[in-house]
Amino acid sequence: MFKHMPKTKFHPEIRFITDYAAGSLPSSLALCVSSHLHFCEECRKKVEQLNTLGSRIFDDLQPREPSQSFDSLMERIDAMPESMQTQEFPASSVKQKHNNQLPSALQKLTGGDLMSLQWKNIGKNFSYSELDLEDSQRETSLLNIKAGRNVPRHRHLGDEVTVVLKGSFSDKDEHYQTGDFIVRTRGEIHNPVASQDEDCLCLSTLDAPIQMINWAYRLLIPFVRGAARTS
Amino acid sequence: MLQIMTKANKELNQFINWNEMVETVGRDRDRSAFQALFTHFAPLVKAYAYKVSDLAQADALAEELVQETMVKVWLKAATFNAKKSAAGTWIFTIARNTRIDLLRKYARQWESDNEEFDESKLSADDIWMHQQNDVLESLSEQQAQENILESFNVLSEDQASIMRAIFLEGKSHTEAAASFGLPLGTVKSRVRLALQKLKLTIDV
Repeated sequence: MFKHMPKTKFHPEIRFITDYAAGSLPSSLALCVSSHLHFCEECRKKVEQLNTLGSRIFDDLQPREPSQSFDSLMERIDAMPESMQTQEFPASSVKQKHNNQLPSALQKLTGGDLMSLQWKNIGKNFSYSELDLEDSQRETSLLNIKAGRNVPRHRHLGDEVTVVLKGSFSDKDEHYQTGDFIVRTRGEIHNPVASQDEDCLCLSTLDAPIQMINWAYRLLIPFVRGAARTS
Repeated sequence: MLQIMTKANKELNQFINWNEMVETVGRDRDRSAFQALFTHFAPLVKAYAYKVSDLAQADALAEELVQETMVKVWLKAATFNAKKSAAGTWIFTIARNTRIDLLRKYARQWESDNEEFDESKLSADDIWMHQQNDVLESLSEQQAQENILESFNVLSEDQASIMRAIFLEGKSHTEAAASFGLPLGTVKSRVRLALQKLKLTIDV
């Protein structure tokens, strides 16, 4: 079912995958891991193994008797409308869409139509659209770099996680393709360039703003994204 | 006495095929199979609720979590697929996602009186229930998972307690480091060693 996917080369380190399986990863980072999983069968297997570990630890808990009885639960279920009882369908019957589809969480978040989002253009090179994930610690956006263009050299004042959703880009002697999961840490300076043949769409989350190196850009946009989080 | 009972129950439970129970509920809407699931899992779900750090929330959370999780087990039982995950794992992930959603709901209520649920907002299921292959058709994956279940006992107490903090208390690596008073690097390496001992296939 996933046979035609290109194999991703850059994966989240096990710390992210563990925190994801445990459910403690903030929603913005969890969305990044989940988007990577959409493209990466190997990491999906790891998550399933970690879920199994979670269930093993869960099974060791000292049980506590619920205050409400089984009968009262069934009363509640019986009171539910028929439509709720039958709306579920087997997950396996949901056809996996071909690989350049967005991950399902992003489809839901964007209403499936990227053009209808509000995009902010930064010159002719790239544009971004902020996503609302109820995560006060991070700013999460979709980032579209035009074919052959770059995001001007900038410095990270915090950590950034990026997942390539479509197309590819080059940065720091590496080439990143669809599904790749990339972490940039505080202090890094870089200059990602989209490949010539198509625009590159990425999901990106920042816990502190980035700072443009070029003063002209800085005057244009003192802080790109995350301006509200400087405190 | 209680401990002996628990142990006896545990041994008895090993002979119950939870996969079949969930399948029976999904296929036949069988109430006695569902009651068996409730009897075993609801008390674990309740205990799981009490692992959150803010105990002021725990009482309210506990009952709501038990109810919501078990209702979902009933409603989603038809979607359960034993080729993708074992029933125990499946129920754990439902409890985990439901706890994430309830904690977020409480946090929103704390911040404002606005209790409206916005349909466009993502729920934990949107982010945490990803497409899964039929991994359990592969013998090597079956063995990997069996090994994880059986060899958890071989972990040192240091390793096991960090894994419990991460999986039950919902602490990230960073938060676990803070609560154990350990550097993040130490927590990372203990987790990594634990995962290696469990032969979780990691290449980090």
